[in-house]
Amino acid sequence: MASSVRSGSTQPPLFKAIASSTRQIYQLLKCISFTAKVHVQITQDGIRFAADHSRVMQGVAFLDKELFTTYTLNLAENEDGALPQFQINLAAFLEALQIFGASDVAAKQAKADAEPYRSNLRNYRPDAFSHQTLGVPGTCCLLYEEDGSPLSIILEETGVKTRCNMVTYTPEQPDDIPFDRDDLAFKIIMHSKWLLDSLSELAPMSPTRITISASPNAPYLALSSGGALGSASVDFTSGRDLLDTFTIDTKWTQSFKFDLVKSATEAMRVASKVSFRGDGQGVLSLQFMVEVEGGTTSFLDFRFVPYIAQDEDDGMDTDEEEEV
Amino acid sequence: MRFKTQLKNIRTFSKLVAALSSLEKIAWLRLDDEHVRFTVIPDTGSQVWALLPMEFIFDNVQLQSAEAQNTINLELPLVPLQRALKSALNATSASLRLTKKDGIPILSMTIQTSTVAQGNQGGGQGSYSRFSRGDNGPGHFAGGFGEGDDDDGVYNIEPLETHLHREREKIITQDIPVRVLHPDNVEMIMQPKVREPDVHIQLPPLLQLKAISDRFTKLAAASSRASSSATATAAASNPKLELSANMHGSLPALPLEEHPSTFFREAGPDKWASVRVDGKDWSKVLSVGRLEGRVIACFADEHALILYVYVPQYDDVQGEDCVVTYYVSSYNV
Amino acid sequence: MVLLRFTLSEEGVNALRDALACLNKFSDEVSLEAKRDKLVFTALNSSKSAYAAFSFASNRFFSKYHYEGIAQNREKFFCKLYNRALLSLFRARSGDSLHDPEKGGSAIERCDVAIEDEAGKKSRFIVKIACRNGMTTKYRLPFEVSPPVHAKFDRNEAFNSWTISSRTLRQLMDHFGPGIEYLDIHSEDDSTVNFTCFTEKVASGDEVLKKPLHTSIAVEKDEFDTFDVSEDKLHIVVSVKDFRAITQHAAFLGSEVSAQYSMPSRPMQIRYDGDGVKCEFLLMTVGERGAPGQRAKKTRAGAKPAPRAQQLEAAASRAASNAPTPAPRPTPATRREPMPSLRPTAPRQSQRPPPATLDHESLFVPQDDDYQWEPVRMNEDEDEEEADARLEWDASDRPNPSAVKMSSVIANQTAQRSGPGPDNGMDQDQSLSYLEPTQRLSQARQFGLFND
Repeated sequence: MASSVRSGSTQPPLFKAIASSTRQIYQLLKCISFTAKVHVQITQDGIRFAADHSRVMQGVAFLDKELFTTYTLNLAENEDGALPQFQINLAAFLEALQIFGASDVAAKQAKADAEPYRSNLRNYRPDAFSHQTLGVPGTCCLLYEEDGSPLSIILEETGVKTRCNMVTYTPEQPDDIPFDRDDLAFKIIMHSKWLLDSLSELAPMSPTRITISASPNAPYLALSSGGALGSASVDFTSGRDLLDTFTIDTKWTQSFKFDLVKSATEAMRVASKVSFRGDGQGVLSLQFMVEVEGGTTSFLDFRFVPYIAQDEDDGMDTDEEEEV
Repeated sequence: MRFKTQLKNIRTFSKLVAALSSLEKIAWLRLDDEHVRFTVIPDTGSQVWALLPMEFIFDNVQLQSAEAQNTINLELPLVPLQRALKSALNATSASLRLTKKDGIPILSMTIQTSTVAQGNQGGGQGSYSRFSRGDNGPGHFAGGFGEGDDDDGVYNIEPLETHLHREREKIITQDIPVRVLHPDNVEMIMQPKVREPDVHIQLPPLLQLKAISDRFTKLAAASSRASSSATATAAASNPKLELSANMHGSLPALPLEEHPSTFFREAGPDKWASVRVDGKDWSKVLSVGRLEGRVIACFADEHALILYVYVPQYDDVQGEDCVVTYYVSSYNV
Repeated sequence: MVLLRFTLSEEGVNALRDALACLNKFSDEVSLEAKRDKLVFTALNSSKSAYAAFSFASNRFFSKYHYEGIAQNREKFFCKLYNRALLSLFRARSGDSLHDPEKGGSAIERCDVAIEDEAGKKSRFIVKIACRNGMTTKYRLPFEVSPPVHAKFDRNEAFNSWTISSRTLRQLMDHFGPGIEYLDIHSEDDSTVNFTCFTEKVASGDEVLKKPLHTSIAVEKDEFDTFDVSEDKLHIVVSVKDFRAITQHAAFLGSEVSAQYSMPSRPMQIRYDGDGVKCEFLLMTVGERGAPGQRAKKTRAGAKPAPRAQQLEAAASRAASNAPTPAPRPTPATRREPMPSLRPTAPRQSQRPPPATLDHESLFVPQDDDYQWEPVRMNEDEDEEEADARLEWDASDRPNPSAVKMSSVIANQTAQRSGPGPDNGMDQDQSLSYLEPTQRLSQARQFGLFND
């Protein structure tokens, strides 16, 4: 973490990207912060961050190069042309990103706080030539000199310069959870908020698992769970119009570990839409569309492996069908 | 032993107490004819000596002690003091007096306050709107997934004075337990002596400094948490921040010769004085920013950092400033 | 078979939740009792010293209400539910009109509740919440059929009474700090009523400094709407925690609170009404007739054993249900278990002072953006615990290691100076000239600072 500045390298760095804000990058990466380390792969189109939880849940955030004002990957330097990849500590990376803006926010706050009754305070008058006053934006630079070197985050704003060197670890890319696009059981596109709302309806019962059913007829989509306190189920019988796209052949029902699905809630919160799909093997795919300022659209991709079908003894109540 | 005073500048007093209590819950309060001094010396971490002119927070002081130089020394819990001051924030008047109740010495704060009387109990009671309350707030996982037993959070802040119909006075007495300290025991506690600093600077706005420092501390914590499951003691594994300063800022040159700072200045802008401080402790120290004083940091290279926080008397420009001195330990690498 | 069915509007859900939140401060379990004309929720605390009842009028509070009853008992049905589950499902939904102006999002459209109780089937408390956007959630909670315990109160013997605005009461309560146990209300003289908070915890030596703030408030008598206490200087003492729970709820409704009582160690009744709901509480008062003030002092000095367990008297009902429950319980005895007076047992909710910042609990005007000055929290859980340990003044017997004694400081000082460990940089044997530790501003100016 020491801020020793590398010197002597005359070659251009393997990878360098500069952004004028870290907000979107932070927002996207926070959505997959359910594991400590993430796998990073740098491509010509953007940076792919992948998190894996015991091969049962995976989350991928892709930072499109459009999120950066400059984006340079010098693959020529790399003989076999392989894309750079490594692992980093995501929690530390997220903390580092938050340094950007910290002092600005504080400075703005301080200014806003200067109420009239304190006008006799001359202490920290805003300087007419401060970056803030002049509207000079800060920059965030991501720098990866060469294979195996640390990933540097260099933040500059309001006269404060910060450099963080993140240790990079040997890549150990897990296999992606297979999701068979050619064997789709159903596909629903809806506001991700409805999915978030549904999960928050189930959460109070402290469930261990969540059962997701999609059916061609009412209730179309149902999420149910049972826990120590009782059972709960959410359905869309009267909410069919909330499902913007709804494609299904036959009824699909699978159960997942509730806490894993819950770890995607940050994505549900920041995204505008979710594409909610299941394949013939029972794998669930949630693709989130995140619209960021400036019209760029980013995607987050989550996959979940279901419980084995006959594994039913979770204390779920079975007498679900009577109506109130 | 006799001590009685009116309180003034309660908001600033309260902020000072808040800043002190972020480091330690019990303070040594020393009163004499001219000054009020609060001292906190935590087991680990920075110590604070706050020297206030009497008239900074007190008015019409009556002080009488059999001790030399008319001093009174008390051990004082800061949390109850802060709570009592909160009661006094909107008071019409507040006073403090040293007395005994049930054989226990107390600082008794008497607060006169007037609150709203509901002249009319009519239908306009809807202002306790349940719709604006934040109990489970905007639903979702903030409340949903968390353990939702945050009872007290159910009730939001309400305005204290709304429709004034008739003011009625209430007298609130807040008794803070104290211990009287014998002068023999405390007069030998001295402020640390520090060699002449190598570098002294006026710190940038503390809010900015704190925001960045806290981020660094969190970053260091996040890195060490993930990379090692070491079971070192908490204090030893706490993140340390290295603070460095040189003599090439915007401050005017010091006209002194043979002063260490002159040496640092002449050595050029690459000559830095550095100290290593505990990240958590430093964050508590920076909590003094709430007093909005000017802060001079004195670096004794590789040894210590001393902060002098000067809080002016807003209502008396000629008045003596309050000086809060922080002695921050430096750790070796 | 459905024996009770009712429908609530969004506001109804909110009002019910407020009542449940208040009941939750008395007990984890809530008893429900349904009749044709009303639905009553009650709770009795574990030491049986406080009882709370909310009675919702079937024709005023509900959009629909239908009581069917069961063969065994046509008159009423009762059961017990786990309150936390109820609170979470009746929670406020985000009626997020910003994101979803046309539909009102997931705000509650209506809430249907049904209770099913049938031989051979699981008994169920079924709640169906329909959101404005069409999403529907159905909850099924188990319940236990056991009769509620109602505390008895003899209004004829309670010849003392007063009424006061709930808002005034709430304002008073805000001046009381954390860690206190009892509230003593008495008339001082013809024109003043005194509210005093105190604790019975014995404190000696260093512990003295951990005593909670002792607060008393003198209130003008005419701040009460009525004050009719036959005996001057009659001290009536109740548990602060219970009283606070009541005043907080009453302040939501903004109603007049009336109290009735007779003498110490007899119950006090507190009542107020909301729209379609009657709220009633019974609090056992502490102390003995004659000299309640002295009693507290004596106990503090350890000269007297703790006051005898004071409990409310119960009036129980007979169980009648098809639900597979344990055999009807014996009527809970009123004076069986030795419970320590009104003192809350093992406080679940630690009564720590609020973090000096974001003060959700106070009605005092918040101080600027004070939270920014709070020390950094690196590992939320870990830190929180540590911070709490330092902030708690009452809940534990452990000596608080952070309580600095100046004598220990003195002892440490010498050791610190010569000892190893962090280099304090404050060596006395430095032969350089010293700077006075505390500088006056004038001295700072000498160094060219602040010369503006």
